[in-house]
Amino acid sequence: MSISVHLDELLAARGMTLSQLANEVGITVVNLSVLKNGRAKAIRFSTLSRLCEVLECQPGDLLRHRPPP
Amino acid sequence: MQTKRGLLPVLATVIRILTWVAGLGVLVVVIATAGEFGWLPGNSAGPACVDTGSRLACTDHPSMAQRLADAGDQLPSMLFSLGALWLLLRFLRTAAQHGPYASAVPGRLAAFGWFTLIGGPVSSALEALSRTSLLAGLAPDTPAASWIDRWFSAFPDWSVVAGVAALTFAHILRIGVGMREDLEGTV
Repeated sequence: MSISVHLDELLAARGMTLSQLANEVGITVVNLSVLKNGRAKAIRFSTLSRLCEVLECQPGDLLRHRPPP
Repeated sequence: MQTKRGLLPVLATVIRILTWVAGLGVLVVVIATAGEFGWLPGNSAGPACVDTGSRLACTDHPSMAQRLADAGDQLPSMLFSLGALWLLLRFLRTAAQHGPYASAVPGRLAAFGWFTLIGGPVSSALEALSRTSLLAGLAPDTPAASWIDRWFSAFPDWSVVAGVAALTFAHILRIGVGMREDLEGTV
């Protein structure tokens, strides 16, 4: 998929763990792990919105589009 | 993801019982046919008969072709029924165990659909051929009808309708499986 998720970088920059983020966002660690590892097929606007609120970032900081070569 | 199984386990049990009954029926017919062929120990070859509509025409010393035609008069539809029930059971068992949207379910329903769509008419054609061949050999005085006329008069419309319906539902289920996979990957 040409969309990459940069959750690792944002978590490291904010000194948060995956389970802390999962608690604050209100989704399971398993689902967050699916997103982090690039196995998610879709993301709800509500999840994206909560992630951006907690991480104080924009959707573009979290997701990036990389066109296939 | 948990999906409701509903009546699937009950249906699977009912079809399992029917499959066993059909299997035993086929076994009985196969043993009886083997007996008529004289293949069973202590059993001499029996006569071959065909119902002409007004009487039963028989021969005590049938040729091998007449014996095969005699067996072909009843075995194909029984084998077809057994095969269809087994494929239906396979589909229901998978759906009951793994849920109706498991990835293997549409393929199993499609297998049942293709078998029913093709197997019904083929078994019916084999029976029409056998009956025509037997009538020509044992009762040549009866009005001649081609095997195709006999086939069309006893054509299993229900099997074609059931096959097309199963294939249609398999296609719909395949779309449902894709939707479930998408939903599972939604965060």
